[in-house]
Amino acid sequence: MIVAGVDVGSRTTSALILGDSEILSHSVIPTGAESVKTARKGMKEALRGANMSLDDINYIVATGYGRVLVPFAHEIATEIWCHARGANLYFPAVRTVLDMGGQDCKAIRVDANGNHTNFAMNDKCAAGTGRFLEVMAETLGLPVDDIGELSLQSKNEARISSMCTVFARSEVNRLVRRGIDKKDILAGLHEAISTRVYGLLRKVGVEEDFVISGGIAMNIGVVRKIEEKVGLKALIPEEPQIVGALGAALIARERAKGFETPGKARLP
Amino acid sequence: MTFAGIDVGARSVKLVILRDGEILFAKAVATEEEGAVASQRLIEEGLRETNLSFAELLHIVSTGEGRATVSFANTQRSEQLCHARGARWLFPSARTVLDVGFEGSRAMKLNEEGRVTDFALNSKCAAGSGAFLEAMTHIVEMPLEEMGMMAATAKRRAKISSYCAVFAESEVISNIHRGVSKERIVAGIHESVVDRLVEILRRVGIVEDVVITGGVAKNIGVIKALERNLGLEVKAPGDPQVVGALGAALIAQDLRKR
Repeated sequence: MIVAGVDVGSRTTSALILGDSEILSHSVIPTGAESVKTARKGMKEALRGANMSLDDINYIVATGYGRVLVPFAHEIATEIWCHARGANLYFPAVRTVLDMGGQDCKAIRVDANGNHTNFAMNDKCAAGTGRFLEVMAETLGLPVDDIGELSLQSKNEARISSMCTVFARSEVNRLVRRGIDKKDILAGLHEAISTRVYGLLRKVGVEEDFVISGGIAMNIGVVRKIEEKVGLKALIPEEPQIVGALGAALIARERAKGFETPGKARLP
Repeated sequence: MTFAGIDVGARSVKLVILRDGEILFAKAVATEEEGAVASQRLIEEGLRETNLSFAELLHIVSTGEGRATVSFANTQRSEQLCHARGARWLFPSARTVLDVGFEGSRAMKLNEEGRVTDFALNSKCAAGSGAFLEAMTHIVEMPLEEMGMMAATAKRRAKISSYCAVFAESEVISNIHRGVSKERIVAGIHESVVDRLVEILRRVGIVEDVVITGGVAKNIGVIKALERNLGLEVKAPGDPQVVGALGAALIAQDLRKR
């Protein structure tokens, strides 16, 4: 049976095709202004990778912030549920997942079966999200993909006192004007963001194995800072941005009973 | 008898010099300088303009986020106390004072005698602050005052549902892309600021008269939206930005009398 998961996030959309025993293909694209178009495009890209068409898929589950806008999905599932499932497939011993996305951040406790038992979430405020880092990278005139490595070279970490993205942006501007090294500013920013997400983690409690997923998991500077605070090594999935879509596909497989004929039962 | 109050905020420094219970000098200067430098420069200007010598200032009180950087101040006092004192002097009937600055807002509840009995503040988050409005001016490409005027007269409002200033920025951008009129967007922005301010006000309780102070009180759009939300009149001083410094100068005078 072939199933698929689509995760329409606020900044990034990923789609994944799952066969009986392996991931057949996946796509990761930026979420555009129109979520419906983005969802179709992401799915099309994943299908192309697996050399398939939509009619070959038995069941599709959508998740993420734009999940209700995926017209070709049979069902929707919460992000919490999908991230717990996805992380469990990557790391069966996972008990805590920190998913750091473009505009939100979730700390999720997971049991041995990959079911979530508790979670805490911030989606009201950009502090502790990818958006915070994007704004800061832009303010410093650096590519967001480079800031993790750069921050590790800091010798004299700057102190950033604001958690608020808008205030921190002014603070960064002031530090730049004072001639503070950008690497030191970055280290300070990573300290600020990790303090924020640590607050979220403490709400649910952290137990090993500890997994970080989402786009920020690719920022080694943030990961190191969180590890320091938590006192545990973080496991990072090979492709941290597809954990939600993978979980959605796993849920699709569980729910596909009665949909053995591919494509036929697709909702309008 | 001459006294001075100096208010070192996140974006501006304000000075008031009082003589025999009257305002002799009042000025707000926008600055990116360190508090120590900016406050020194401003006090020198104030003394020059009033032909006073430093020794004639019997007592100086500093307030604001950067109050500790004012080396020549005799005493430091919190923004809550200073804004309440200044607002009450301007409006003796004031019972609720809302100070909205660049990086923070605070609501003070005053008893009949004018003593601060409760206060609530937000200094951690840009939602409902001057910084939020300023960030929006770049996005709607309109000066702050013009934005305020447009909001005050707008017939309809776009709904800005994000709490966070940064998320609201994206929301405004997507509204612009969707072709929503600037008038509606700008009105929505002010509505959002006011929603946050009302949350702070409700934490202390709202008793009339309500006075608004701080730099954001220069924005007519905020005042109109606040009045509509609360369903009552909100009083704003002619120069709301110097109310903290005024209160500091009045406290300097009180301290000397005691």
